[in-house]
Amino acid sequence: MSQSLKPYLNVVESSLEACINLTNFPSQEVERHNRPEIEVDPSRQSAELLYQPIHIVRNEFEKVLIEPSVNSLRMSIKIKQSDEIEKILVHKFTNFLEQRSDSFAILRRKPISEEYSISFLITNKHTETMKSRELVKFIIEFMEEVDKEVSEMKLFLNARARFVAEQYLTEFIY
Amino acid sequence: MLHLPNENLLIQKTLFEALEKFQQKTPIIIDRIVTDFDYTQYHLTTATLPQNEEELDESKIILSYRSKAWASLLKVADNDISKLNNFILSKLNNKFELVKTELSYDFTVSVDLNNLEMADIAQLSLLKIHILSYPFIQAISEFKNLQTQVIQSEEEGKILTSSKIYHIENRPNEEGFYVVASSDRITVIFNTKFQDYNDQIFGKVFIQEFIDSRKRNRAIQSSPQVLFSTVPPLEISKAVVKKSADDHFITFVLFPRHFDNAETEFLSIAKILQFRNYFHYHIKCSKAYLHSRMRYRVGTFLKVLNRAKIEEEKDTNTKKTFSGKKMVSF
Repeated sequence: MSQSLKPYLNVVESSLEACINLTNFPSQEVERHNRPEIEVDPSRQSAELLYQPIHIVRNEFEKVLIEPSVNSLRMSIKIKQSDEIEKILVHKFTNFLEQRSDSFAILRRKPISEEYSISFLITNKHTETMKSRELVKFIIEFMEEVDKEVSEMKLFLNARARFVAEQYLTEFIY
Repeated sequence: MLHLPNENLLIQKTLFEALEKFQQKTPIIIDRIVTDFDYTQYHLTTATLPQNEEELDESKIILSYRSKAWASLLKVADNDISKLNNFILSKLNNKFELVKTELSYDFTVSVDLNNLEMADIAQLSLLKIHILSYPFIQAISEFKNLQTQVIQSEEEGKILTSSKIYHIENRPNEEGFYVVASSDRITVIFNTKFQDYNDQIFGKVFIQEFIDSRKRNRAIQSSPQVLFSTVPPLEISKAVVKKSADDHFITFVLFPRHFDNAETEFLSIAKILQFRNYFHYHIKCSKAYLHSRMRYRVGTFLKVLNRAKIEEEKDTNTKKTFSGKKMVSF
């Protein structure tokens, strides 16, 4: 991990740890409903249930938004995409994960907006069945690995293209 | 598989099978449709007797060929079908007889199993390359003419370029290639399109490597020069009628050393004809690899997430004896 990435991840980690303090909270509006309050339409939501969102921005390509509420927490990540290939790779990769969000439990099927690449939704149910410390660790590891994976895939693509081109042209050497 | 083979393996196999069975006096009756790249289709059938269409002549096989490129090949041959047919037959060493063209096919030959050799099977499996080599052979003879003209004119540094542009459209959506002869080179320009945006970006990475690898790697500097543009190159700009936004023109410059004898000439033409397939094939391969890599990655992420799950607390009070009985302490 590069030295400049470390402080960014540290901030995300401690902010997440502060926000992951979730409790069971039945809906105030609909009887016998228990829904993640962060996902409820904010215009019809009572303000005391939502906490102050946190923006953590590393640069124009990388940022994180954490939106906590009383019983749920939503976290959106913008993964670094500096050129068209990285954009495609990130898009493919996040798509791939989202299609498997059933097994990932805390993964949201769609990012909250176009601005972000991927979103997580953690509810009190998750913190009750999983260790919240480990959940935070997972997200941090995810952020670390995704960057690495994308740049590795990009390198691979270039290396393969080079090899393929050279092999083709070698055929013309008599 | 890094390289795509030039020959069609299915034709090879079918003919070999038929020949083997025929020599063992147990001829088989075949009726097979074989496909190849660029929407090429072959039809192999056992021939019928000329007098009676109901009866089969097991010693002969009819091989028919159909491709989208045929119309433009005819145009190159000045709409003279016999010229083209004779060219193809001569490429097959004049061993096969041209017969009445099968309905909805472009070219039909009859293959006599009585004097079919392994070398002939190899030639027949290269039929597509032989047929598509027509514009190249034309360009090479033109190149030779231009070259002698330049030598005769005794003017140094003079380069003549042929006014003829051979355009072969062998795929739908105006995909195809152009061949132009000059006095010092032959230029082959591919017009290719991409299925979707992702392929286009991947394709750009690949094309860039095709252009750069020649500069970087000294060992392959005698290979053809590769150029790329999204607008028609000047050589062919007057021949490109319909322009669309997703046109990609890839130029190969063949130098005289690439076609100075019959063997290198064939290899160069075969390789150039494979270019589009090779290029798109490797784009697809990379995508497939990335896909499986992502799949693996998802697995490792899941493992990390599963670490977070709280395991069910073990009942520390129960212990088991050697025989499996439970011992509970109170």
